[in-house]
Amino acid sequence: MLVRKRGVLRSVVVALCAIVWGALVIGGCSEESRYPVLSFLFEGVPKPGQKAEQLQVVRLPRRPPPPKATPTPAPVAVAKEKYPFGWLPALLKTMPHDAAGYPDMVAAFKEKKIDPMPGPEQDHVVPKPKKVVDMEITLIAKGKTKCSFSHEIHTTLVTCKSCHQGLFKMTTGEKLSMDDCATCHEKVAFPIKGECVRCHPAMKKKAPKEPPKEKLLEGKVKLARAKSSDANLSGIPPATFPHLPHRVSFRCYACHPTPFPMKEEGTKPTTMKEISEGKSCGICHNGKIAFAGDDLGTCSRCHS
Amino acid sequence: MPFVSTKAIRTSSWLVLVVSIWVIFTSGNGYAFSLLSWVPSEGSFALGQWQGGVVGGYEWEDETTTAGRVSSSVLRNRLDEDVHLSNNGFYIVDPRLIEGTAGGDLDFFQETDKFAGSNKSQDGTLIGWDAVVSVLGEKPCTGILFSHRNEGVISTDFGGRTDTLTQNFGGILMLRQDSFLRESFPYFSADLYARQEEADQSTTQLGESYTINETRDVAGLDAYKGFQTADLDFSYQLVDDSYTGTSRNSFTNQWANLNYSLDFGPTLNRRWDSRITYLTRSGGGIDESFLYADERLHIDHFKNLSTSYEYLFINTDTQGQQSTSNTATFQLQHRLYQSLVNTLTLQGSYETFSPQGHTDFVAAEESSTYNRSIPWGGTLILGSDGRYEIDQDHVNGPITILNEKHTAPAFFGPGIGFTLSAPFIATSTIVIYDTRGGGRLLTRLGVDYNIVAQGQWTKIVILPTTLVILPGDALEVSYSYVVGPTGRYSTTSLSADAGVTFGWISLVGAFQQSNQSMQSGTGSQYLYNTRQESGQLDLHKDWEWVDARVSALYQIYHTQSESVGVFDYTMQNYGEYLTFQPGWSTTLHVNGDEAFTDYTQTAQQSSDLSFEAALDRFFSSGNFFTAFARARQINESDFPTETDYEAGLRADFRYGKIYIWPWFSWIERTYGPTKTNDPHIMLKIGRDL
Repeated sequence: MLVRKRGVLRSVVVALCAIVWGALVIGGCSEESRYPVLSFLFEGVPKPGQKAEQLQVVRLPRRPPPPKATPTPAPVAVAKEKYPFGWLPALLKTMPHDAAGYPDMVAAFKEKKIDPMPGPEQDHVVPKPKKVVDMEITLIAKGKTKCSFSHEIHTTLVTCKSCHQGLFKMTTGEKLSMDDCATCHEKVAFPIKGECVRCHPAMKKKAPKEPPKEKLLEGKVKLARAKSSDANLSGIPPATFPHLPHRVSFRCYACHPTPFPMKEEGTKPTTMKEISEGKSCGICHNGKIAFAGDDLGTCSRCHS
Repeated sequence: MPFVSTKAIRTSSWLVLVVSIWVIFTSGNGYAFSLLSWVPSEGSFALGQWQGGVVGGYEWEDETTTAGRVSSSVLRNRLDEDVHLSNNGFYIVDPRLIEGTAGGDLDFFQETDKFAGSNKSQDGTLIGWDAVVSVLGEKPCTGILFSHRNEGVISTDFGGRTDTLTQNFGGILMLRQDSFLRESFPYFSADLYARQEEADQSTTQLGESYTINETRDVAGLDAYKGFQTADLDFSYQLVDDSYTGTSRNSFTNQWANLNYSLDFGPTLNRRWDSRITYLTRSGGGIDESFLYADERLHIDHFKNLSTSYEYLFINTDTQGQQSTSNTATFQLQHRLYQSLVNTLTLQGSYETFSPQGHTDFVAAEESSTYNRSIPWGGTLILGSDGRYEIDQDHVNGPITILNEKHTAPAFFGPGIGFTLSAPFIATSTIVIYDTRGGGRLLTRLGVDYNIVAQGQWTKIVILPTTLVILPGDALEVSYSYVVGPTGRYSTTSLSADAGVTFGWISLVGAFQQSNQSMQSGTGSQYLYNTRQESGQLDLHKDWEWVDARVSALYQIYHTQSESVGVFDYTMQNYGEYLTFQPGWSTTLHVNGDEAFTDYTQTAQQSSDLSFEAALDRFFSSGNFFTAFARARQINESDFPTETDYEAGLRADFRYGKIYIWPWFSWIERTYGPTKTNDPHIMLKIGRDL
């Protein structure tokens, strides 16, 4: 047989015997004597006195634990938007109206349907309301036209300076004219005509002959533009100021007489430059309290 | 039905040629005209980046074959024109919604062949387009739709015509890990796909038609699920292949694979691997199924001590023949200090062949590996292995092996091939399929391959003239081999190797021996003994610019059996490798390989000598130039000597949008009395749009 079977087997047996003999001889030696022999044959042999440790195999997980399901967020108390889209018509529906169909601001205030602020919030702090003068004055004592004036109602909304001394001199026997009252009560507050009973309770309540006037309902005032303003040539219509949304939000003295003095001919002209600088309308319309007045996307909200 | 008529093709091909040349050579400096500037404004639909170009090519080849006094030559002249245009990154509504790439190709060629004194011409056209659209590409759940079509016509002036059509379309639905399942079903991803592929060819020659129509429907699912300490893979694929036309055939494949791997134990020191594969194939006169299940448990008791347990089940059912094997393996591995690793293996197997019978074996094996540092930075490596196996055969006929997988060699030449794994094969039962690209093409003995007996082993030699098998193809070989009908025999295997390695040199000597002996029963004529001795020397050195390696292997092989006697050979194999890289974007490669085999008993010899040198030069402008030369000589006692010489050069020069690809090669092949000389020149000039 060409394959040297017997010779190979003999070699294997001899090698095995040599390994066994070697192992027995080495195993019988002392640790100090054994070390030089073992370290010559093998690498990583512990030195005498050092015990060979049986190290455990420790594997890391193949991947991190699956991400935990995001807990359903607890309902966060979201600050209620003060003026969401369509807030005014909705508010008007809930407000009491007078016989002519105009919103009765006094009744709404008393019924807490509205709560106009004394002024714009500064750092989330609402300014304190001004002192109210609790004084009822009888203007006409007798007859169908008897009339009394409530300072309480008016000083809740306007300052004394708004009426005194410009319109009313605060003197006994002063002759009063309804035209003076009409300074407000034709443009912004409820109109004199057709609403007699609201100041003269002895008069008969009359049914309105015509529906409320739109302009008066919203209290719109066209703001005068400075004659020198370049905007006159721009084709951009002058701004219109709606009193109603401002009235239900703020008391009159939030804006009058500062920064807008109340005048028969209308308040002083304002410019976009003033608004951009945080003056005039820009005190509130700065993008923080109300929409920014100098934002190109909001032009038509005033200039329409 | 062809897309365009032959007349239209011929007319338009010249038109395209003229237009192509005009565009290339009259568009100024290459920067003046650019489609990139045409990008529509944004909207619900926007185009992406344009890519395209025109290419014109000229090819000349003069192949001369001389066999004795007979000489023949083929002179080929060919013009190619190619126009291609694609838009990458177009989108509809939004790139994140639907984004895609679409393009088209229009190729023409005109060829004149001068063969045996007569001129023959042919021309052809190829019209193709492809489109890929991704839907919600940035989302975890993404869909991809794709479509591709190429339609070609080749016409010859003697009435022949070949129409080809390849097309596919399909879709993939992908679910990525970071999907909405991240929290409820983490580490999960899946691909669901379906596509249809069609390849049609219709050839009409001298009044006869030959048609191939292949339609393949493919659908599948790949799913993956990860766990903190485990992985789970599942794949399924359905292939419905249908051949119609001159030859009709159809078959359906279903394949499913499930892999699971788990780390467990107190320190995750234990691992379980499970792999199950199931395959069925039906149609074409073949019905077969294959089931493979492998369960493996590995425990690392300590860093130097581990055990493994494995159970392997394989079931194959083909045309009524069924084989089932059950194999169990236990392995114990221990490392002594850092130098000695001992592995003890115990194995048992029981395999049934229906209707032939069954075989079984038990085996024990011990292997040792020793390595130790030695002076001068070297390492001493010793290894030994001993295995004792007892086999019992209870069969009443040859055992069939189905679809044994092999790979076609990278080069076809005399004696070049591969050896089948079983001994004593009945050569008449050998069937080889080429499974390139998932297909299954039957090959033929004497046409595509030859069978060479080497002792009890069988070698398959691929013939260089084969038209079916390509270098590197996947092949499946089925055959039957003979074993003793009722016998009990033992196999003793011993091996040893010793070597030393230093930084630049390694020397290894190895010895292997396997002896089989009959213990009872009959069948000793099918037992065999083998012995192999080898020595190998490797030298390796790196310098700053040079990397050099040489190797030398000397091997003695001997095998003997009662039935076929002795088969011996000695082999010498030398290899040289040199790379010179001086640092100015130039590389010179020189390779050499020489193998000499001397079959001592059969007075047969073979040698395979090859040499190759290549010079690559890259320029900072992106231009590229390479020149190469190859020589190879194969001597095989049973075949004529083959000598090949090949030299060539290739370059890629660009100037702006214009590029030039010159290509030259020269091949001289001598095979016995036949000598072939083949100079080949090709020039392509193109322009990007």
